[in-house]
Amino acid sequence: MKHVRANLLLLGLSFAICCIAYPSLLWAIGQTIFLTKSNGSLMTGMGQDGTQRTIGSRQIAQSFTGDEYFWPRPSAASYNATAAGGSNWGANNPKLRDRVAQQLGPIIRYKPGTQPRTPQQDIEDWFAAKPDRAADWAREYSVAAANWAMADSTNNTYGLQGNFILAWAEHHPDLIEQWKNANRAKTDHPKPVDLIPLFFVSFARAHPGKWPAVVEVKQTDGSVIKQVEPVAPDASVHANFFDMWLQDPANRPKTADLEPVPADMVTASGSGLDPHITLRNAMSVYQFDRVAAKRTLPGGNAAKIRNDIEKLVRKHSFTPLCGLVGEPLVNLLELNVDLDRHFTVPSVR
Amino acid sequence: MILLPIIIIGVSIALSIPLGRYMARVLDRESPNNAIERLIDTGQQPWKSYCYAMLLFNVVVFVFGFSVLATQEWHPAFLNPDNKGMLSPSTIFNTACSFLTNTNLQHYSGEVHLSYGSQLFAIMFKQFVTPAIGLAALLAVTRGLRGEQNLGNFYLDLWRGTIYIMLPLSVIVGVLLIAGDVPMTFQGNANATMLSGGEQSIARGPVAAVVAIKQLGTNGGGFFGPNSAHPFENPNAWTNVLECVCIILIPMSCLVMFGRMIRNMPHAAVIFGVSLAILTVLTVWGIYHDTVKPNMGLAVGPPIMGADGKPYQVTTLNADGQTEQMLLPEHATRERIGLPVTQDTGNLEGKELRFGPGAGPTWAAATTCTSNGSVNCMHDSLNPLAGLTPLGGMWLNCAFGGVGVGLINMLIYLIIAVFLSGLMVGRTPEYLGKKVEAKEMKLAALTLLVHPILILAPLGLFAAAGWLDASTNNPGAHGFSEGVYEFTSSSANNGSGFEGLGDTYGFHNKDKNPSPPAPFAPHWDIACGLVMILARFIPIIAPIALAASLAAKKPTPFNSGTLRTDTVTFGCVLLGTILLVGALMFLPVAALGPMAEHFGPLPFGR
Repeated sequence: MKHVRANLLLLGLSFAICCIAYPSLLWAIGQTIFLTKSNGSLMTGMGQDGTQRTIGSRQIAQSFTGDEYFWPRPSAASYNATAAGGSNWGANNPKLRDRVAQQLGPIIRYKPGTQPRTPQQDIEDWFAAKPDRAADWAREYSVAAANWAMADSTNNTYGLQGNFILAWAEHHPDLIEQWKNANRAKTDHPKPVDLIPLFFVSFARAHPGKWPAVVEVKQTDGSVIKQVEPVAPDASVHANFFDMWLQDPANRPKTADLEPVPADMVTASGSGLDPHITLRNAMSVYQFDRVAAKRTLPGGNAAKIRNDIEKLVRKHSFTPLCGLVGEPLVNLLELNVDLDRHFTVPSVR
Repeated sequence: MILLPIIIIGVSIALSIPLGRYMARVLDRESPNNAIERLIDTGQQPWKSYCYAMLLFNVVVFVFGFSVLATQEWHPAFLNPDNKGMLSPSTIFNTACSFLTNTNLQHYSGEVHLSYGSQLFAIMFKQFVTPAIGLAALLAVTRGLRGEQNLGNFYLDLWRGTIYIMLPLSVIVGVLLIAGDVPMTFQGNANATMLSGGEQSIARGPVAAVVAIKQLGTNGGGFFGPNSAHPFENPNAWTNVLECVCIILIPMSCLVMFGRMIRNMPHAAVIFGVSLAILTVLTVWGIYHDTVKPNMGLAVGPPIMGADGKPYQVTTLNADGQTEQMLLPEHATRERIGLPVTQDTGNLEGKELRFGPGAGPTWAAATTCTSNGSVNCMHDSLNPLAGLTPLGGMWLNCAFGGVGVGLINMLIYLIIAVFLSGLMVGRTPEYLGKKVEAKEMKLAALTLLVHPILILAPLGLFAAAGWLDASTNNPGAHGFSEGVYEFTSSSANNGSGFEGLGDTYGFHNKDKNPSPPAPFAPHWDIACGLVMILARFIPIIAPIALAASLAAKKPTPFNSGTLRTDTVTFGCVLLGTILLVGALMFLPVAALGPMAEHFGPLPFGR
């Protein structure tokens, strides 16, 4: 009986104190003294219609893809602030290296004054130099190739690429035949992923030096549909073949001249919502040049704009723990809001 | 990057001394002091009654927590503004076990799956009382070691621990966190129109209240999925230092309290030194392999070949399901050129920038040494060898350890160390003036063996049944490490994870889940739940019995032949015992997991 009383008392009292009184006290302190902070440090700004609206939280990253803005770190959570998370990919995961390589391929540059052409042009030439490069890629980068085939797939339906492989197999029955010979133990019909190596061999034979890219095709009625077509190397080739181009010993002299990117530009944060980038990242040719070029009025003073934007970026930078640890960082949302306030974007978005 | 751990550990040590003294003064009182304590008190308890009371209260808390979670659908609107439904039954079981045992393993994602009511009443309530239960167990063991037949009153100990230790510290830390930008609101998700168009919904809630006690009580179950990596749980470098200090503060103070209670500060100082040495080594190891070194997957890598310069031959399964020998393909083993990425601040995948370089591994060492289990970076993305830091901390599980229970684990190693020393000099071993004999050694060995058995046995089952393989987020050895980590974390009552592992089922109503349930989520839920329960209560009850058994013995007089337990020499013996007994048990899985990953092809399986 004494045990029952003690248990009930403990449960009731500690519940009342720890779960009611304690959070209420903190809530009261927060809502009176630290009102903005305790509601999530929300920022308001002027909308396009001229009304005040919430534009985000200064602590939570949001997606920026426009050339006129500085870009945040990649997010494994797609900047979803209701389901945050990291990639949880270890160093041994090919997906991690593929993701970074695919991000780098289209944007990578040579160090100024070292090479006459862009890396993208070099990748295109290198791609076209061997007619069945795509077949090599499907064999050596099997994880990336599988992801390519599974893009936009849901449970039982396939995305554009997956359906393209299936359609290809229908017109090239030898593909299925080969697969069945190699996999006699399996009885079911092959999925697009299973056919990747065979598909790329067959594709490279039919369209040497071409790549099955997703292109937008204008219909007769004016609407635009996406479909896969064999095209000359495009941005998706830059993305998918960058790592393979880099690894080719023949390209060693060129790859040594690549301008490295700061690590935070290509690594996803633990929360997927990291609101900062390093000052180095912001000032690198990969961010600063793009933003400055986009915000320079036609015929405007480019050097002055660059100078002013640089001042603004540096004004926003801070080093954690009063400068004791790490390197200078920039809060991206605050910076981009300030950019909009001080520098116009010439063309309409 | 080495400054940050020095600040954190230094501040913790400085604060732990006054706090430990305060704890000894407040907790080590026999009789009730006021009306409430008199109501709660049921009189002095010998060890069996003490354990009975403890188990009874745990049952009450389990039932209460389970009910709150199970009724989430019907929580009133102000406690459930975003209308969360019911979790899957196995996840409710797992979560109820996990928070009851001070583990805080989370097979759900806080902001996605829990209402504010569940966060406060099921999660936070247990975060207050379970460290106090650990503290009570430590008080009981310490009183036994002091030679007292009655170990005190469980209810009184629990009440004092909750109200005089956990609560005031949480209020202080909570206010500091709010001042440092952590939200404390009952409003639902905030809707924002982003600068470049598009909508963003931002989850928030009574975060500060949960984070404060989560850090202080070696709990670790965060408000948000990414835990203290989330900007709302840990907004800047200052809160990071504060939260990291909170992780180790009370476990350190427990040692000071222990020294005061047995009136043998030098002995406590030896234990403190050994714990500090382990924590320091793990921190430095983690920083070296994760912050000094770049992310191995993106960096240059040597060609992979045998000593004879020929490529490796491996055994593999062919399409017909038969084993065959094949050479590793050339493209997977040749020298790897690094991607053009400047990684001079270390591996940034899964890290936040605002804490500074080195903050992730430092936290990883602190959170696993102390069975806290909160994280400020994704441990799954740590470099392969750096992953040994959290794993090692949990395998040993005694360097400061969880509130109360950490020191109890250390006590087991102490008994073993005393026993080994006794064997070496051919004398009946003694600890604190009492003879350690067969019965004590059996209890100590039982406690010690529970940990590896509860890790390795279910791991073997899951690996053999194929459940592990189907749940991993990473290929090869790292996938295996994810399974090792999950059971290690459960058995160490830690709660952190290689979170890529597919162990989340989500809402019971499948249609409400943002992503489909992991294939073997119920398996993980149930297995980890059982492991946590066994790994919590056996290593509490057996040492209490051990202490009571020592208490019943006549003290042996101290003479020149007595093994001194307050010298540096004994510290070395203790450290050696921990490493030999503790670490060797896990060497095989370490070799199959992180080490195989480090030496194998990176990336794996291309």
